Amino acid sequence: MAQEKIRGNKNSALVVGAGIAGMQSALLLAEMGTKVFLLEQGPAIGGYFPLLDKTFPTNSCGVCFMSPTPPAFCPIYECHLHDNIELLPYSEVVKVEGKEGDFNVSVVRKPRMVDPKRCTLCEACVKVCPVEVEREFGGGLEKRKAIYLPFPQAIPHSFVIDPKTCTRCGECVKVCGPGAIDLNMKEEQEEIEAGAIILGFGFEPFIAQRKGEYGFGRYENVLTSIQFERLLSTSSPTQGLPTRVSNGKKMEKIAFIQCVGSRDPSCGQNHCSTICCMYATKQAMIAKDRSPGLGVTFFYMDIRPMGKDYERYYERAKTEYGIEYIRSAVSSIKEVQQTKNLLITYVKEDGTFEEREFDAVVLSVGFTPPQAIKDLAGRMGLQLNPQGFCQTGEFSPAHTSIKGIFVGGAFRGPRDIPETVVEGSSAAAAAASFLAPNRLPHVAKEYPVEGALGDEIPKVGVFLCHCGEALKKSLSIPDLVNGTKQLREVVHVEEVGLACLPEDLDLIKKRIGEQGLNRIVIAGCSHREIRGAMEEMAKGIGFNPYLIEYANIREQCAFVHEGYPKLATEKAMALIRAGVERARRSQPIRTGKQAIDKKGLVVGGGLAGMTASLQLAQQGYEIYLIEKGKELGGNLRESFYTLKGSNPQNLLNELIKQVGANPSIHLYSEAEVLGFEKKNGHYRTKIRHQNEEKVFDHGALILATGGKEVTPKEYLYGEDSRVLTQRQLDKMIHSNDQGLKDIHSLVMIQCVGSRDAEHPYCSRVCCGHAVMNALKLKENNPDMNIYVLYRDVRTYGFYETYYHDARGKGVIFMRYDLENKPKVTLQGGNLQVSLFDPAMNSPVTLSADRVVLSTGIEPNDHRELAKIFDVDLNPDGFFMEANPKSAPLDSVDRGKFFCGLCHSPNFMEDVISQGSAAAARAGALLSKETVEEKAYQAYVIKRLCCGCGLCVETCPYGARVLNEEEGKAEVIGSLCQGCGSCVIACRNAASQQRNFEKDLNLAALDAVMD
Amino acid sequence: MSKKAAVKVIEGKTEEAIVGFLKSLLEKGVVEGIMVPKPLPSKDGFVQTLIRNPEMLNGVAILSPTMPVQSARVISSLSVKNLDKKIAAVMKACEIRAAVELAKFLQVKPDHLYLIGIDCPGTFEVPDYAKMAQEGKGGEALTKALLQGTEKGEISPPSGYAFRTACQMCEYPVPQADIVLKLYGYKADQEIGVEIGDKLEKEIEEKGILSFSENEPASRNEVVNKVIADRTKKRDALFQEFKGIVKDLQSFLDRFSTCVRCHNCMVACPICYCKECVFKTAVFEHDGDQFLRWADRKGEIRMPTDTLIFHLIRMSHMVTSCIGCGLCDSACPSRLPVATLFRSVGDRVQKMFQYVPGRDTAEVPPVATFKEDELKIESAAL
Amino acid sequence: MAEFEPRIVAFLCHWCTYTGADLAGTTRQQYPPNVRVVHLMCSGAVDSIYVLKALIDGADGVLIGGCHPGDCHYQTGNYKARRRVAILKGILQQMGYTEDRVLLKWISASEGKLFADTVTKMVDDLKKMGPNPMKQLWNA
Repeated sequence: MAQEKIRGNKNSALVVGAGIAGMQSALLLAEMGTKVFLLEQGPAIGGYFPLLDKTFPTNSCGVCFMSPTPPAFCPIYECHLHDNIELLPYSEVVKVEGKEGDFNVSVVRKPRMVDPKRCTLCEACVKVCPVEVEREFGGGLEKRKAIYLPFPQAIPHSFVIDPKTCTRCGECVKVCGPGAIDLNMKEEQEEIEAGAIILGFGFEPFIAQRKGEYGFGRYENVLTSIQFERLLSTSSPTQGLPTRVSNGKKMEKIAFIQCVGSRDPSCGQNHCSTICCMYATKQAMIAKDRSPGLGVTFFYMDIRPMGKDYERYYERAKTEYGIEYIRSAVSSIKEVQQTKNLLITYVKEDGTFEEREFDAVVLSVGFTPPQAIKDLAGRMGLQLNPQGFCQTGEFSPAHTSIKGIFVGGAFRGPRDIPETVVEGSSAAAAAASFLAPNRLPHVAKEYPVEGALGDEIPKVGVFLCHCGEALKKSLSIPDLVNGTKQLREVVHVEEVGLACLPEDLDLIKKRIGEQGLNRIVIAGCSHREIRGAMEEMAKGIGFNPYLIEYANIREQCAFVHEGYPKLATEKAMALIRAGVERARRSQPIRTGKQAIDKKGLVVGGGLAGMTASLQLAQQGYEIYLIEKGKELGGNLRESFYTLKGSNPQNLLNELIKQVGANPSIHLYSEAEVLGFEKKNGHYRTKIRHQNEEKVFDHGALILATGGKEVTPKEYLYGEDSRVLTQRQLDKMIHSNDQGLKDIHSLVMIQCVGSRDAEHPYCSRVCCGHAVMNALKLKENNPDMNIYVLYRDVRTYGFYETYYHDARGKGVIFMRYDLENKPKVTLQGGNLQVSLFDPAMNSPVTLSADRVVLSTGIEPNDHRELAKIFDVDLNPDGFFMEANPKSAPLDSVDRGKFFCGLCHSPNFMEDVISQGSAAAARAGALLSKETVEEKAYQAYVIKRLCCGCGLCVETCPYGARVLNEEEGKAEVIGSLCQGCGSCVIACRNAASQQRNFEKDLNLAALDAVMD
Repeated sequence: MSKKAAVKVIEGKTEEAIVGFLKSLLEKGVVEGIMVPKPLPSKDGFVQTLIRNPEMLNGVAILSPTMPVQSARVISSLSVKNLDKKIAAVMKACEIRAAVELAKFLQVKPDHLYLIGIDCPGTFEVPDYAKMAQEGKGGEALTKALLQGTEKGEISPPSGYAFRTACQMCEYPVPQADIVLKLYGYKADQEIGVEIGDKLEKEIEEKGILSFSENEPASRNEVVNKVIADRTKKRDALFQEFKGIVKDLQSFLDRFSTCVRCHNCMVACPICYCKECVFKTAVFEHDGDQFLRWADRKGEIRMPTDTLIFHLIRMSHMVTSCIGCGLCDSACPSRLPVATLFRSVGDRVQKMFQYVPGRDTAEVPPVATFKEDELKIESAAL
Repeated sequence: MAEFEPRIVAFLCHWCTYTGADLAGTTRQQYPPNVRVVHLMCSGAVDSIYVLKALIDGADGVLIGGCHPGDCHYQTGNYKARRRVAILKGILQQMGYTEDRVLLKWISASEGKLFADTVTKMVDDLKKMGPNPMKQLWNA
């Protein structure tokens, strides 16, 4: 350990683990003005996410919507770009000392042996490296060298040497032009000081070899779902076409085996891994997209698509994609010697055996906690749950057992991306509330005032960067220099070696001064690589950064046309010409700033609304909390206990007390929202409260308007008082109702008002609710006969263990189909439930003293509110998010957020996460004094505008309005995101986009055509 | 649902009967002005005229057989800014359809407008009619002949003349309007039909202007269908013929090579509503040396350079809304078949979105909307 | 005569396809240098004028690259682009452009290989189709 540095302070945060949850926490905290250290044990950030090509339920990627400031690039790249985030890749935490508010963390920085600042990705090193090993994420199907790029988009965007396999032969050092490689680099230890720590360690896939009977590792065509995921990626060696490992032939008929390493105490995995049903279904759909003739069969116990819109996805898989789902238990897999096909023997629901042959088998592996965490947890004193994941309180899901250390995402247990995004946000909210009292005012960087440009004639300076000689292989730099000199208004052309390094930046700076350059073209790498450094340099000398154009002659020319030096040079010349033409026409852009009304307005005072209000108030913002009822609490008032054993009434009282005691929260109960308007990005909401109209200005809006129990319309509900809902049973149990004593036989019916034509979604909580009440009843009266009639038992995650318990205690679970629903009848005054039992393959009749209906959750009627607040509802009446994957709580119009049952059915702990997460998203917005408007905004040449309204119609952000008086369109700067779709909607170029004017684009087109 | 009625014609004076009906609209305060075609003093043409005094309606030409300007453009300027009195406008079916399109682009504000349409037997080119008038084939004689023809849907132009090409191929002889004056199937010298839309039916009945009855000549539907069928046949034949003439780029350019770039087609087009065309903006200004570079690349370039792109861009802007009035044809000094070109492309593109321009203001033009699940780009359609 | 080398103009959206094209570079996916990229913020910001102008000025093919459905960084720009291209194709057909010289393609930021493959295939296809008929009218 060579040296030691101490960085950070009591106000900074350390995020450990840079997967989806960690990146989300880091981005939000950074956006709130907190200095964030984002530590990742691997050489590049991103966690498992780079493995994924398409995600459910959208079958697209879309994770870019995760950024708190959309539109944005992939979060991996956004973390890299953010001023307040410092990445610590290839690092590990070795020791945590101190306490909340003042942690000292010892971090070991592993040697990368390649300097990311100098590495130009020229690949010379890869060509000479003699060591070949298996590639991470390759699922054993791909190779890499000891010096390698972890994955193509890896951040840091640089090669790295894997010290374990590197033989230190030194070949790479010899060929590295920029001298980026240092084989003697040593491990370094750093000390990081932080006020709060967020753990985002994530998960690890179950090791399939542990279930030897499935033949993984022995049979070539048995793959894990991780391998299959990689195979389906368009960047895989087969470009996403599912092919057999044994012979490279296209797969024709494949089987998915579910719950490999899940719901299986025999391998120490008694939890449900929650997402395998969905990811496997997604893989099956993608596989069929890529290879339409592919036959896909699932072998499963219960299918569990219980997230928002997941049920529809599953239905689509069955009906549209023709994917076959067989409820069964696989008893063996054997390989057919000649064909290497696989014979699966399975037991069907009715106990009979069958055998089927497939040419490949995918094992849907479950998830385990990260193996390395045990040691660290022990050293830190961090409590883990029995499954080895991070222990959290049911009502404090973002808090670990150590004060000041927070957690989000799959380290709490397996979960999907939307939940991970939510929890990454809620961990950020918890940390932000914790750090808030000490937070220093956010100091913006100061830059010199920009020089006026006026109507000066453009003087273009072109700098040709050969990227440490790397471009010289494919391009003739002298030809380009000469060609560029001929271009109109170009007054200076110069070749540079590495424009991104301070030496060359200084040189460019000097030339701007010497030559009076007022437009710059950088010909070299993609603007994505160099823009940051260039703009910083420009701002430092008062040069408007929007007067710099980039000609991408590296990624989009030299690197991809290696065999065609002449044509590549011609193309590079065309790209430079286009850059110059753009530069000549570009104008300085001074982005507008929009003051933020640093207040939030929360509609709905239930669990989600109160949580969100408190979190925001703790972060230091004033909150208007609007509740239509007399009392706070909403559905929480009706909850008396939980499956995990917490007391909701204590929570209710505590929250009401805190809301009441918080001077920043202004509560308006028995209030009604009357109107809402949006002006320059500010919100103004009008309410009626105690017969008085009140108007509030605010910068963020959180809708937490809740949902309710579906009122059953069947099973004699409402006709016979012995037919009740789970909630009514809750009350009986809670009040120790005498009637309970006389119950000998009780039948619960699941999916009442869920997963049917009227409510085509899963309500997520009812299976757990039934198991909870069944356990309660058994606890009081072990002799009671309890039957649970279900379609699929969806006790996901750790709830699975309670299901297991209930079965152990004699609760009988019987399955029914939607086509064959149970019937509740009266026979001689007694309730009788008849159904067809697929396990017995015969009809069964149960006599019941009580029938308890597990009713689903539906949203409150939000149609009026949705109209007032200009937000969308999904077909089920829940609020619709901007992106179901990565912006699950945001509306398209940034500044409005949803949480709680108005968003989707959820357990209390998830509602709490959502409430805090919405507060974090809102807090990221409110924390700034001003929001910078987008640079490439649209504008209107009024003289040309006919007021036809096409631009207004097309704008997805409501940034276009028609000025009725003038009959002309206008742009609301604070809302315009700069997509340019209004520019195209306009027929006569009245609508334009700054520095993407139509004439400018056409000039670029003319330039590339020549 | 609209209500039907009939207007009795006395002594075979059909136009007078209609004028009587229009007068009652003014007199009873249903509207405060009526725009209607009136003969020019020279009697060799017609012009849309805005009338407020009922007496001035005498002598108007309801059946004016020419279309000197697209009335949709006229009611655009009339209605788009601060029109707060109710105005009726007598327009041809294609003009009304253009007005519906313009309403979608906010260029016609329909709030205070009542459109009166009349079954259209077809129109003549303006110079043709002037000649007809001089030859004594216009005026009342023509009106009478046309009205006779509409009874059976067999309308023939005076010998030596033809209807405008666009009219010959127009499948919309019957307008959709607030008030429709019906000729097809009627003995127009005895009675004509009137259909009053939702916007007016109550007022017209309450003010005793008309009394409604569902009666209609039994043959009307048949006659209308016959006219539509005849014209559709003609349309398809013209499309076919056009396809033969313009089959590739070369033949297209040959056919359109005499374009003088006067932009008359654009000026006449009711859908081209821009105040200033994009071709006059900075978008089409270039450095002088750019022209030289083009000449280098192409060997030589025709000047001005934007003839071809003008037609194509104009088409990309308005072809989805082209209602086929054919005024572009009429306006073209080089007699280029602009209308047939636009109609045949329009036909293809409009079908793509199941869009019928001019049908209903509630329909959204294809350029202003999209569906998430359409036009799969993997398929050959795109 | 040397083999015909088609010229392709590609209008690429900032977030997905342009970044995908960058990734093709980072990963050294080789493709022929026949393509010239014009960078725009969104596929929904590709005006018909650009495409028609490119064809008139002699581009043998035009590629428009956008985010996959559901992934548009501006929510719906790609859907708008899709309609625009459909209308354009309707027009071009009448002009005798019966072949697919205008290609709309969804290429994400992670699909560098797809970008390279798309260009490669487009170049091959265009070689089979031959030059843009517009060029036959030139005197070059």
